[in-house]
Amino acid sequence: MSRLLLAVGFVSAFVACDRDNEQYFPQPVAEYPGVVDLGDFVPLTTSDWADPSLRVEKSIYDGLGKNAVPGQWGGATFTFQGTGGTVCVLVDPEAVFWVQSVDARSPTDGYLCEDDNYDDGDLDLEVGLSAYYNGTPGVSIGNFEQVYEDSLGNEVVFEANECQMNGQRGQAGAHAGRATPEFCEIDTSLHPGRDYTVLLRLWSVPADDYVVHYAATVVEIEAGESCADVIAAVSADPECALPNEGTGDGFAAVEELYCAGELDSLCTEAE
Amino acid sequence: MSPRGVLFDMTSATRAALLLAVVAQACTYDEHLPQVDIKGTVIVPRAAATRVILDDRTGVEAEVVDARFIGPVYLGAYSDIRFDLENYPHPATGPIIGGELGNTYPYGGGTVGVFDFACYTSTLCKVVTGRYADFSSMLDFFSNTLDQPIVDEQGAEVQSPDYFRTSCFDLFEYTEDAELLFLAGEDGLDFKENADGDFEAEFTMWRVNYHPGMKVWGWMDAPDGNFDFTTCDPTNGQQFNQYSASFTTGSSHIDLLNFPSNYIDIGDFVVSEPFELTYEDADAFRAAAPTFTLVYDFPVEK
Repeated sequence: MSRLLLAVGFVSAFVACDRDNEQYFPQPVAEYPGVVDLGDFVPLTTSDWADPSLRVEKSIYDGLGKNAVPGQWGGATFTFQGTGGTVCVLVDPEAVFWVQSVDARSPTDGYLCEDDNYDDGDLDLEVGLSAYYNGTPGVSIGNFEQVYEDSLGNEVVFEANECQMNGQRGQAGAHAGRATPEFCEIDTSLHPGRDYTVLLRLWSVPADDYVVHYAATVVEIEAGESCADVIAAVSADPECALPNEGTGDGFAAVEELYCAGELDSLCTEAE
Repeated sequence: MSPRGVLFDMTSATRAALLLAVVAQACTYDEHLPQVDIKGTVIVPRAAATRVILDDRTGVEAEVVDARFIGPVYLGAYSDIRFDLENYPHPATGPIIGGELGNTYPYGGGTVGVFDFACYTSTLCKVVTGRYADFSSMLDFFSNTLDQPIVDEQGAEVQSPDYFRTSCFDLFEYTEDAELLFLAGEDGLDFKENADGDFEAEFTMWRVNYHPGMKVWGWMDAPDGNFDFTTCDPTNGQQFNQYSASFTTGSSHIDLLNFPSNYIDIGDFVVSEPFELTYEDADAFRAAAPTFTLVYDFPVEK
C-alpha cells in the first residue's frame, strides 16, 4: 500500500510540474513594439473636446506591447507645444472596470460579475518639458529627473515631471491602479511654444494578449477650470470620456453598459 | 607573569583604570561629519516688535512695543543670496518647474520660535514658542493688547490661568507646565531688548550640511492685523479627534526654506546681509567654533 501511495505521490508531483504559469510572463508582440514615439500632437480645443466624434478622432488610440529588451521600461511618448495656458492630459488604458471581488485590499465577497481578470493593462502618466526628458523617444524610456548644480557646485537631483496626481490620502506623486484613467493639469504659461513630452509608462500589460490598448489626449483648459472639470463636462466618469480604447471581443458593449450605468445587468450580487 | 596571562596578574584597581582608559578613548573618536551646528545671535529691529494699538475705551491709538509681537524667525543656509529675484534679498533658486517658483535647495536651517498649539482652537497658528512666560502672560496679551481674547471650545472667554492649565492638561494628558512648549518661563523667553532698543536672541542651526562659501540668511514672519502668520498651516500638525471635537493643531508649512517667497509678505523683515561661511570644510568650522550675528533689517514693503 505504501508503495502505491508513493507512486501516486510521484505521479502527482510530475503533474504539478506541468503548470509553469508561463502565460503570466508577457512576450513581445511584433505588431505592437514596447517603446513607441507618436510624434507631435496638437491639443484639442474645448470645442473639439465637447464634440464626441471630434474628441475621438483627434485623440490618440493605440496599443503597446512588452519591451523586447528584458529589464527595460516600455512606454509611449508624444510631444505637444505649450499653449501659453493650462492643458489637461488624459490617458485611459484598457479595460473598463476592475472586478471588485478580486481587489486584494477590500474585496466584495460574493460579488459576481462577468469579467476577464486578464485583460487589464496599466499606463502611468508623466509630463514635463521635453528639454528635461532623459529618454530617447522611440528607442528607450526615460524619466524627467535632471541634475541642478548650484552656484557652489553642489549637485541636486530634481524631478521635472509636472504631472502631479494625489493619492487617496492626498499625497503627491500617486498613480492610479491598473485599467484606471490618469489625468493632470499642465501649466504652460511660462513656456509657451516650448515642447512638452507626454510619457505613458508601461506599468503592466494584460495577460491575455500582452498588448495594452489605450486612448490619450491633451485638451486646452479655460481659465479657472481644472482637468476634472473638463472631463466632468463630457462624462461623469473619466473612463467614459474617451470611449472604446479596448479592442477585445465585446469590450465596446461592456464599456457602453458601464458608462450608461447599466453594468449591473451583467452582474449579480450573491445572497 | 602567571600562566593565565597579564590581565589576571593586575590588581582590580589597575584593571578598572585600564577599562576606563579604553572607554574614554572611544569618546575622542572624530567622525569628521560633514554637518555642523551653526550658532549665533539674531537681531530683529524694534519696529518688528512694535504695533499701533487702538484703545477701545479711550479711542486713542498708542504705540506698543512688545516682544510677543515677534513671529517665528527663520534661518537657512544657501548656496547664494541674490538681490534681483524679489523685492528683497532672496536665496538663489533652481529651475522653474511648471508654475512653481524654483526650489532654493537649502543646506539646512533653523528657527527661533516655532508654532505651538495652546490648547484652544482659537489660538490655532497664533502662538509661537519662546514668547510667553506663563498662562497669565498669554491671556493678558491676547485680551488686553491684541483685543482678541482666547476663548474655549464653547466660545467662552478664558480668563483664569488655572482653567487654561486644566484645559491643557486635560487635552494633552500632561501633568506639568514644563511639558507645554509654548510656556517658556521668565528665564526661557527668546528675545531680550538690547542697548539699541532692538531685540536679540540666541540661535542654533542644527546639523547643517557644510559647504564652503554657503550663506546664512533668513526672515521673520510678522503677524498680520488679525495676528495670523503666513508661515503657519492650520491643516498641518497633530490631529485631534475627541468626541465631537476634531481639529489639527497647526504647524509651519513644510517647504518654508525651499520656497521662501511663497510665504514672505508685507511687514516681514528679511536679512539683507547674510553671513558667509568661508572655512575650508566642516572640520575647520568646528575647530574655529565661530558665532555669528544675523540682522533682520530689511522690511518687506511690497
